Amino acid sequence: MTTLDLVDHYGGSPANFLDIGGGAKAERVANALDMVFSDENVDAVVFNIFGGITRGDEVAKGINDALGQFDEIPKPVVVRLAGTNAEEGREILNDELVTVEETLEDAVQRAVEYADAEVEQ
Amino acid sequence: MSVLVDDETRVIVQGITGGEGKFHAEQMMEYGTNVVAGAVPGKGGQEVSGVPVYDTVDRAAREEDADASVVFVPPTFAADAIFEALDTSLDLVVAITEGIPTQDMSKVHKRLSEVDTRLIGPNCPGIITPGESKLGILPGNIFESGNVGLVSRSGTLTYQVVDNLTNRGIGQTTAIGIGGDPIIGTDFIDALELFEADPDTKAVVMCGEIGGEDEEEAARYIAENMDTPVAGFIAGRTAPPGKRMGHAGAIVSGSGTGTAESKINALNDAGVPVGDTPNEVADYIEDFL
Repeated sequence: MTTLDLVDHYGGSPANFLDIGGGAKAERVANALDMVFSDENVDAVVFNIFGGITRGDEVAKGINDALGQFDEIPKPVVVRLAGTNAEEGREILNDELVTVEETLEDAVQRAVEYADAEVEQ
Repeated sequence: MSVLVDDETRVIVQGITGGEGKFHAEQMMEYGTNVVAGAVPGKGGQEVSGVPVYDTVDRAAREEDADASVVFVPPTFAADAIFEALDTSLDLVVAITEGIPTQDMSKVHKRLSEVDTRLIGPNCPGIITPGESKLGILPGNIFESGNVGLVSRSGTLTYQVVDNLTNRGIGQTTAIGIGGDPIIGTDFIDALELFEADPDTKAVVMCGEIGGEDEEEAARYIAENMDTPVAGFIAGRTAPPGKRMGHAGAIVSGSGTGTAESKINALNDAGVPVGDTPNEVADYIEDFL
């Protein structure tokens, strides 16, 4: 919810809010990403995970699985992983498919930039 | 100093034979928590990661001299697990489980008024006294021992603010995740009371979110009772009315109560600055110290 507030704060506009829930496994993350891509109002996706019960490596696997099925990624994806197993997650993430940012503020600002660029196209 | 938990706290993990229970029991032990027993009906006599498992909380508490428990039991059985801990007269029960039926929690809530045991949660990340003990699922590596107390309805938001504090070299006495459900045990005011009474806590962060009126009540409490400075954050400024935002309790009702605006105004009126971003909260805390 704070991520949404920050999207607004940095001049963007949230199209879709999806909480993957505590302890999400890779399959749930992949399904979530499919659903968000299917929303035509979405111009960019920001993944903000600060895991307690959710493990960064599981999220990263889900993101890779979801993106692996596309020849071309439908919308730019920015990922910020912190917390439980975040380092393992960042190692798993394919940075040819996603932009990885370290802080919440940077990730949201980058996603808003991408969304603005998509709109201009 | 700290509140509620320290390196002496002896902990039972209820549901230690489940996937999450086992994983987080191991994480807790790795952090330094004295996990002295597990309690799972029908699994007595087993051992999980070197921890003896008992059929009941009562037995586990007697055999291992425990004074607290953490509940990782699925929602359907979680209220029973909490009742068991209350009946054992533990000092503290931390319920991590998300999705406990509200009707079950209303029964738990009534029982709480009759016992001395304190409940934290449910649907919460738990509690941590950095460098000593954590009861729950909080990622220990982001915390640092220091003199800021933190109380929050959201786990992720707790981690975010703590990360912002720790990155500036500002440590924490204790962080308490009170949980995102409509019916919870320890609330903002309970936690603020504890921090106000703790001589080592020099400043407090309070992270609220839309839904209910607990933040407004906490604001009144702060204005009337606290000398320790408090900075706040309220999530859900952009949340549309009538939509449940991630947490069961995080909803701006149709009649317009529970908005971020109302909570921010109440806190500001009580002299509590509220950050626009989590990082701004850390700015305020830095100014206090």
